[in-house]
Amino acid sequence: MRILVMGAGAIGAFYGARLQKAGEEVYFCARGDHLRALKEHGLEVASIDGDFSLGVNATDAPKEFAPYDLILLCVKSQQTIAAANQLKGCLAEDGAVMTIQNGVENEAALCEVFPRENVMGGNARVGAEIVAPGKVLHTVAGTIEFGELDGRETARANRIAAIFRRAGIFGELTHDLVTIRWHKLMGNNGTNTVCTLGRCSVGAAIEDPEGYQLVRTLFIETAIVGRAEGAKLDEESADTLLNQIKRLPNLNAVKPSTLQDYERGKPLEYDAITGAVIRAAKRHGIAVPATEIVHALLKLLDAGNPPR
Amino acid sequence: MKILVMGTGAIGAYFGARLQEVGEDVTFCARGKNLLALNERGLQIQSFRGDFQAPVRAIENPREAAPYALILFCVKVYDTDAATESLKECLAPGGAILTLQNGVESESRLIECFGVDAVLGGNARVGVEMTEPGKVIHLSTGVIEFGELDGRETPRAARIAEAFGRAGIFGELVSDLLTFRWSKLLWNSAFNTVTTLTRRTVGELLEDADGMRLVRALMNETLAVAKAEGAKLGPDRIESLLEHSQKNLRALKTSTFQDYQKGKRLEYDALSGAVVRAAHRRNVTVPAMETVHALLKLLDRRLS
Repeated sequence: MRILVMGAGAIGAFYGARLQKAGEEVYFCARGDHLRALKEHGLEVASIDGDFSLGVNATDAPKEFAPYDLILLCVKSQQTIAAANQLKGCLAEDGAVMTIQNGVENEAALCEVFPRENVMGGNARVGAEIVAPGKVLHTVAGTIEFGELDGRETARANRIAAIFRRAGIFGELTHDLVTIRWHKLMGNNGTNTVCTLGRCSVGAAIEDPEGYQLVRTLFIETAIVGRAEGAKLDEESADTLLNQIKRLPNLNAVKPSTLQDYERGKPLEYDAITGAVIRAAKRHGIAVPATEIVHALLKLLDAGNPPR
Repeated sequence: MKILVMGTGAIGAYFGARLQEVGEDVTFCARGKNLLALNERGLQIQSFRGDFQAPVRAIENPREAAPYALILFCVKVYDTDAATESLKECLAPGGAILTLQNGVESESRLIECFGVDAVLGGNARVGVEMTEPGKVIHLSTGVIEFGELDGRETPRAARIAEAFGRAGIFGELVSDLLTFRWSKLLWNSAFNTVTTLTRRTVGELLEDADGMRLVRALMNETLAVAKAEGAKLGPDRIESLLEHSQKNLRALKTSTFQDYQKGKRLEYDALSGAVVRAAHRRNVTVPAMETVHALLKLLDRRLS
C-alpha cells in the first residue's frame, strides 16, 4: 500500500517506520531540520521493541508522490486545515485519510475538505518523542485503534487492519469511533494538561496523591461530556483508565506530547484537548471547572512559549 | 536600633538598605554567592526612590553580631525552621522578631521558638527582584505594614514605626494583623500561583479574560477562607486589589515566578497550601485553589 505520513513528528515517524519495515511503500512529509535529516540520514528509531534505522522517502510537498491509498494525518491539530488543503487531490480513488491526531474535532475538519467517505479516524496509542531531527524515541505501547466514521467494517478498513497487523501496530478495528476517540481524549485531558503544567512525566503526576486526584477529576469531567456526546464512558471508565495507566511500564519516562511541545518552545496543542472538552460541555450545559482551569493556564503558558 | 535582616533576598536587602541609609545599625545575614558579593562589593539597589550603594555588614552566622533589638525575618517560608534554629539567643531582652514572610502561618511557628511576647507580624508591600548576587532592582511600592499579634500599640511597635518612618518604609501600624495578613495572601495566593504556572507577568495575566476569571475564582475562594478565619474582608477588597494591580503592578514578576526562573524551590506551600489547610479546618471548599496547589507541587518537584 502506498502510504503518506502527513506530519512526521514522533507519532508519524514511529508508525511510518514500522509500516515501511513491514514492506509498505511509505512517504514522510516533514519540514525544516527534520526533513533535511530524514533525507540525508534516514530515520532512526530507538524503541522498547528493538532499535532500527531506515532510509526513507521524505518530502515537504505531498503532491510529489501522490496519489496515496492511505494518508496518516499526524500534524498538530492547529495545522489540520492547512495540511488538509495541501493534500487536496493527493488521495487515490478509494483512498482514505485517517486522522490519528489528538482531540475529537479533526474528523469534522477533514470532512470540510474531503468527501466524508474518504475520512477515517483513529487513536495513536503510543509514547514517542523526537529526540533530535530524524531520531525518534519509542517509550510505551505502539498501536492504532481506528475505524470508519459510520462504524461499518469496510473492505478498505480490513485491508488497512491487515497491513497494520503485519507491521505490529494493529490495536483495534472499531465500530464505535466516538467512544474510542473520547476515551483517548479523556487520557489526554488528564495527563497532557497536568504533565505540561507540572513539567513532569505521567509517572510523577500520578505518584503524587494530589496530582492523582487532579488527573482523576479531569478524566471524570471528560467522561461525563463524552457520554453526552454519545461515547460509552462513565466515572468507572476513568478509574479503569487510571488503573491501566498505573500498570504501564516505563511510566517515569513517558512525557505527553504537549509537554514535549513546551520543552521545545513550540506552540502547545491544548485547544484540541481542553478546548474540545469545554466546547462540547457548553453544548450540553455541563460544568467542567477543572478543565476550565487547566485550559486557562495552558492558554497563558502557550502565549509566552518559548519564554522570552 | 540594632537590626538583623535574616535572609537577604530582594525584600530583606531593600528594607535593610533603607534602614541603614538613615543611620540604623543593620547586619545582613546571607549565604553563598550573595554573602560573598555583599562582603566584597557591598549592596547595590537600583530604585525609583533613589539608588543605594554602600558597604554592608554581612555574616553567615547571626550569632556573630548578636544580640539584636529587631530581627526582620525574611527567609523563604520553607527555610523557617533552619533559620529559627540559628537565631537562638540572638534577640536582646525586650527585642522583637518581625516576620515579613509570605503566608499566614509564620507567626505561630516563630512563637514556638521565641515566645509570644517577642513576635510581630507584617506585610512586605514591595516589588523587588535580585538580579544578581548583591544587586536588587526596586520596581514598586516599598512599605511595611506591621503590628503586635494582639493588636496593641506598644512603645516597641511605636519605636519601630518611627525608624521605618524615617527610612521611608513605613506603611501602617495595624491593630488587626490577621486581616492584613489575609489581605496580602488574598493577592499572593492568586497572582503568585498563576503567574508561576504560566510564566506571565501580572499585566499579561490581567489582559487575558480566561486568566482573570481564574484569578477571581481563586480570590473568591481565599476570601471565603479568610472570613472563616476571622479576617474582616469583603468582596470590595478583591476589587481594590485588582484595581491596584492594574494601576501599579503590571510589570511585576511575582517572587514565586522569580524562584521558578532561577531554578529555586517554589514558595507555594505558604500560599496555596495555607489556603487549602485553613479551608479544610473551616470546611470551606476551594476546588480552584486545590487545582493550582497540586500543579505547583508537581512543578516544584522538577527540581528534585
